[in-house]
Amino acid sequence: MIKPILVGLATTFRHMFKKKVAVNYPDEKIPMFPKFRGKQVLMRDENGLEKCVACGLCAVACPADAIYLEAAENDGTVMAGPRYASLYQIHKTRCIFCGYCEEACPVSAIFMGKDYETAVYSKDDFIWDKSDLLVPGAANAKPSQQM
Amino acid sequence: MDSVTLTIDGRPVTVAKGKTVLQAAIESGISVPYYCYHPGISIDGSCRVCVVKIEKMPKLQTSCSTLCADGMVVSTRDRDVVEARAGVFEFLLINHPLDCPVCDKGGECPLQDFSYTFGPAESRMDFPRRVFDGEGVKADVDFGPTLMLNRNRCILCTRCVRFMKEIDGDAQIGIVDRGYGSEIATFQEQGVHSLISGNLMDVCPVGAILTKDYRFKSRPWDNPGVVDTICTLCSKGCNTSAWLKAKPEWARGSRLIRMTPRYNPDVNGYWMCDIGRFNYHWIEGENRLRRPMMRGSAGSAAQAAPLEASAWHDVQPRLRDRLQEAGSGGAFHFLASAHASMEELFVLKQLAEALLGGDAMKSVSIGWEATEKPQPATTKFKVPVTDAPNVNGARDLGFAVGRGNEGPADLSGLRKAVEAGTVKALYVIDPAGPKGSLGDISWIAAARRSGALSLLVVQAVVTSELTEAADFVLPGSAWVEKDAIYTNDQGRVQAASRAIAPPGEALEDWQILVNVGRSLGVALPYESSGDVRRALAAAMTGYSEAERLAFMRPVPASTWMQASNPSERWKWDFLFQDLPPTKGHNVQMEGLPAQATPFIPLKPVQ
Repeated sequence: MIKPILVGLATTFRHMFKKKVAVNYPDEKIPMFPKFRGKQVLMRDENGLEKCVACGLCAVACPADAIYLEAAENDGTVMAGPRYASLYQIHKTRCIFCGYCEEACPVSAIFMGKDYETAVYSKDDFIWDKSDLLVPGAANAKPSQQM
Repeated sequence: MDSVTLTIDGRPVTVAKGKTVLQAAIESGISVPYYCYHPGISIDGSCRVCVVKIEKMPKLQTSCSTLCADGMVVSTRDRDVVEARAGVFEFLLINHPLDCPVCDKGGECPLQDFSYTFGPAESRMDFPRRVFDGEGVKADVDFGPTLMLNRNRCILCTRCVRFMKEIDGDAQIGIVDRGYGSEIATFQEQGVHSLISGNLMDVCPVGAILTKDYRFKSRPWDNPGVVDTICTLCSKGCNTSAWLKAKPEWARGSRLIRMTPRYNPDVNGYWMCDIGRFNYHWIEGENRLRRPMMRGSAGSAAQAAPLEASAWHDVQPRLRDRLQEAGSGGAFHFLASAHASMEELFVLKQLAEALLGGDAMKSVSIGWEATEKPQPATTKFKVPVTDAPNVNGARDLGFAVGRGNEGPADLSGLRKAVEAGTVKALYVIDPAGPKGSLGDISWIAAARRSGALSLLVVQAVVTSELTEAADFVLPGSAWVEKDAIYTNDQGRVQAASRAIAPPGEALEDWQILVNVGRSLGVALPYESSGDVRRALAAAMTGYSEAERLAFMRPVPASTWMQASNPSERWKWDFLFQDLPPTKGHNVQMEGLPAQATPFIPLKPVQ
């Protein structure tokens, strides 16, 4: 009768001196393991230009039809190549984070990121567009450098 | 007609005398690749991928340039043929860049299709590719007002050269330099200036010649819906396909993305002109009329009131009152554009007869424009002068059309009557684009502003000077927004199918006329455009087949994979006969039970 209580308390006391596992989320975060697939990221190349050429293969590969993009010709005002995506949207409630878009991309422009915080307050924010997905360009970069 | 019988791959094939082995193979559904051959232009034999083995001939022959003979034994699957063909493909791909992801042809490209089927698995070329103007889409250079040229992608099949020489009649494209340095060029890099230049994109088997209009606009798999319709921008009535972009469905509704010609040997062959190909942006443009409009109050003070968007059920009674008021004066007149379809003109005729009695046909004027198109004298694709699709239809219905298709409409009589004040009220029907189809109509607007006309009703599709001056503006629909029939300059009755819905509250034009007629107490017992066609077929001689004409609906995405380069769609009618119908065969006739959607049967797993 008394013995099991002592065993239980001993376990409790033992754990009080062990290293803590829980973190103080959201102030603290655990790093994601390497193969984690979170919110997508659109990359830039070494010159700061958008890598995406708007070929649409990610949209075809997407089993959930979550990707919509529109290609456009660069008039020299955008930090991108001659053909770029003027509109790039991912519908996050459709996305199943399978990573097929990353696999389909012929220019390695899209990657599955590590961001898992996808909750929003408005249903309008269910759609990620380029401002959400594209990695920020260098502060001193100018569009005219690329043409 | 004489015919010859030969054996291709062990299969006896009978074709008309004078056909080539390649044509025989295509007709019998045997797959032979080709680039330089195009049924609309002459035979060249420069691409060499259509090689076949013919018994008793010492070497492999190009099937596109070998005439069929009785008793010929042809093999397209012999080991020699397969190896030679793969060798030719390897050569074609030595310099062809692998920029398919950014190439507008990617996905509907014969070079892709045939290379996957017949070409080698990989290239053995170690050296860098020949580059003309840059890498990727940077190599796209200006090629005239409508086209872009990418020389890196060119495989020198010379289809464009022959098209310009034979069909356009002005050989603007040529090949400069020789051997390895050969390239497509125009004199002093001026580009192609032609009224039928858009066909070069269809003719080009790779992405070397592309239209600026379609540049970067869509990928072929995003255009799941294709509607077979006709072009109504001139009296020729070219058979066309309207392509709709609609993927994915949540992002945007379907919209028109391009027009391509559809083969009809009697009307337009394989081609269409640039006017019909590129002049469609207004259909989904900013200036479309989406809601009916009317001026604030009735009576003469109405002119001062602004034109306000309203609802059909508010416009309808006001319009009825004003029309009754005008009709009692006996100076009421209709002005219909020859862009109006047979259905609309038929309803209009019945409406006018009911309202105006014996003077009906005198109270309807038909208007259209005529412009001489600059084309070489030797062209094989002549674009007609008349810019309206249905002048002959109006004539068949008994309307006065003067000289018909030989010149512009004569509206001077109407103008005199309006300016003299004998015509007080005018109802204008103009379902044509931004420039209208009635020529200079500023006199009508001026007559309304000066008060010579007391009532101006305009049934149109886009805002114009006329709609600004009108008392009532009724939004109609463009030709791709309604099922309608038109009679072209040959007297051929053709069906134009509805590809997209009219915008906003706009209605099909026959429906507007029926509604107006009903509000005035005219019995018009039509519930659909099919009803109108049935009545029309019964009432008019020579139109008995009108109700049987087939209308298309957008073909669903499940069949897109089988459609390739649009200009070569005829090929898919012959090849892949074992597969379910491809685009363009899902014909749904009105009044018949709906056909089951074609599907691809699952193959049993071994």
